[in-house]
Amino acid sequence: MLARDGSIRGVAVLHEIIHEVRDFLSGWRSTRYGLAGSALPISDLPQPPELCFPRSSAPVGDVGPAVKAGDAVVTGQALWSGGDVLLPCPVRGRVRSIGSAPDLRGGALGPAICVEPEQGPATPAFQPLDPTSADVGAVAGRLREAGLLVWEQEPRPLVGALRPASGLDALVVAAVDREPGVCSQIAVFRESPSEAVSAARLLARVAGATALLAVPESALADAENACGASVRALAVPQVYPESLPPLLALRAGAPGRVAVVALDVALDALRAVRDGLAPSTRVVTAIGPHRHTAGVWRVPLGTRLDRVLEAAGLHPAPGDEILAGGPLRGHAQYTTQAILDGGIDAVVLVGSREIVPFEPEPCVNCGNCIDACPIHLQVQLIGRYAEFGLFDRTSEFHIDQCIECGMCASVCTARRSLVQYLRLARKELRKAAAENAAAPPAAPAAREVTE
Amino acid sequence: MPKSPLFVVGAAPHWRTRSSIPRMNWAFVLCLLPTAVLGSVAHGFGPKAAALGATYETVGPLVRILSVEMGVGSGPLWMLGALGTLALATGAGILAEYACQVVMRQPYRAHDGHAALMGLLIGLMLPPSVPWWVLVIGVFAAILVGKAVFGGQGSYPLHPAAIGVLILLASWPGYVYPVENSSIASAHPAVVTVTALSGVLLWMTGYIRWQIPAGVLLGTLVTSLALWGPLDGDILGQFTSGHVVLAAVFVATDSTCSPANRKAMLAHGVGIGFFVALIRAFGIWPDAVPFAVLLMCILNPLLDRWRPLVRKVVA
Repeated sequence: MLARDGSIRGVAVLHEIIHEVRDFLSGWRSTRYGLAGSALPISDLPQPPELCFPRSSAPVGDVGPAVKAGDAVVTGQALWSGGDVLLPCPVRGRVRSIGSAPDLRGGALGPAICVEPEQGPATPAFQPLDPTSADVGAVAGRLREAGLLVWEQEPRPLVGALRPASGLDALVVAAVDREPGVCSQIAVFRESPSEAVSAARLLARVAGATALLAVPESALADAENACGASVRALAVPQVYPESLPPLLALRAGAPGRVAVVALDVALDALRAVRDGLAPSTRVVTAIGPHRHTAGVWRVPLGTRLDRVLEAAGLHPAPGDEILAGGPLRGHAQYTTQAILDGGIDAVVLVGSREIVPFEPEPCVNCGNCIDACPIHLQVQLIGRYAEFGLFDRTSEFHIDQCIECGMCASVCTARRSLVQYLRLARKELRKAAAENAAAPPAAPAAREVTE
Repeated sequence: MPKSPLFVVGAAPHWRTRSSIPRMNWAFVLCLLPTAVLGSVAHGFGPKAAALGATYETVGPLVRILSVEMGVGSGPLWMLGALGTLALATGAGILAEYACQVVMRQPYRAHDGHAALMGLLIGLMLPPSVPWWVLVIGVFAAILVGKAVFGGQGSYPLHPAAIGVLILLASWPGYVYPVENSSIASAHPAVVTVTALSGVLLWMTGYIRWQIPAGVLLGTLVTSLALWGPLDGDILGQFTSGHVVLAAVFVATDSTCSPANRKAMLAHGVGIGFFVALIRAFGIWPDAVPFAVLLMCILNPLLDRWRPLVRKVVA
């Protein structure tokens, strides 16, 4: 019972034994993730002396820097631009340098524009428009100017999501947080339900669709009070992954005919149109060790991760895991110098003792993944096929329906990296489809027996 | 960029269950312990077990040395009879697994508890009077033929413990089903009750689903009611004798050779119950459980095609 440094660690060992017994008795049953229905009040994080805007915070495409080091920039001026995309500067200030910063989603170093902000109140960047009467084309142009993005697996322009070629039936503004433990969207909703309703109305007008406001079940009464005739409240069960956009869309209408926009993006859109403000902040929940929600902060865009961690009183030690994004779909960071962008609604610190490693174990067919999968996929079979490279067999099991929520891997007894196996299979299938499109196809006959 | 401490970088999802394959196997073993102890007690204390059979003879000299020559009281040794059989079976399982992995040049994972579980199950399904060499052969055969040749846990199509018991049953029926003796797990109705209660505990930990045990019990009940005549109307006896409850909770629920979908699990259980009663009514063997388990194991890839409908999120 001696630690490496020679001290007696009886208490620690006792603690470990208690944890072991508790884990032993937990099985899969403990793995149900509830979603927040209420929130802590939002605190403001002060403006840091330097804001950075990495290339990776804009959609993929031919995008380059629109400013040089030493330039003075004003609010709303494009920092990155190219094609249909631009990323406006949220503050007034001076470009200090064009340096490099790690990509939040993958860690590769890429160019980043560092801006030294001038202190002072936010100034309008654009001419205000009337959200209820302005021309839809003008509003769409404004959304493009404000660089608003929808963040799913990768960012894409909001206007493109609202106005697809095939049209939309419904637009869902999600005031429900995507992941367990996170209470950013619900905090924003609780601040001002009526603003949320106005934002939903505005975006639905742009999309030409019915407006729905998705809220956690426990907030339904408040939402119904705030909603007028033109916006309908949509109650979402407070269980992950019901809050993910594909399932919200399924709740709202036919697949492919519904767009889902997070509430904070919708409010940015409302402010860009009504007040002419460029998006400048993001509401971020900090989650500490033992899955404890440490607080909710309004963080200036372009802030480094360490400032949020510091404000939340979280001090990562070597061996801990820090995540940008939620605990089930977030990305692990190798440095606290990573820069928060518009797609991040949570910062999570996982203590070194809480990290469960993936193991190279075979599947034991326990069925936990099937129970956990919101789509009812045969994850145990797909995982095995992908593991052994039989990618075409995975397409027989509806792998295209996977929403990558991560529930399968979070309950896996064998601790297999199931999400990554499924991603691999989908990637290989896409590659094969692209090759087949070039060459004559030889599609395998898909057979399926269901109840 | 300032120097930052070394963080762990992993893939999503980052919140995951702490259960694992070793934890699952050892949970099964732990939940079997009450059955093992009570079964041993029901078989009588050391001397009675010694009168019954041969395993005790092998530990008999040790008992004498400890109690007579070294002065250890007979108190701690009173259960050595049947518990000795179980300990031998469990140890032989671990050793067999280790030996297979050495020969097959595979990573050592005998500590994951699966071989121990298989050995313990075989021991429980045999009477304490079984000679030690029969027991060891059975356990080695189970691990080698039933498990290792297929690639270990996760790959075998048939339940290794059922295979081990069947090999012994076919080879030395007189030792496996002696006329005057019952197996450890079916020594007394109280043992069967404790097994059922451990099953509830195992269900509460989440390592087994209720569908399989409930299916087995339901299938046995319904089929034996239908076969009232051939079974002489002894419905309660179908559960308290033999290994129906042990199989329902600990054998049929083995994740590798049972279905993964809930409805298929229920069908799997009901099928086992059906075959148990059918073989008991018309078969020539004294117990039907290993046969029924193997029959349904063969069917389970077919049962697993009974899947829930996929929710379409993409058109």
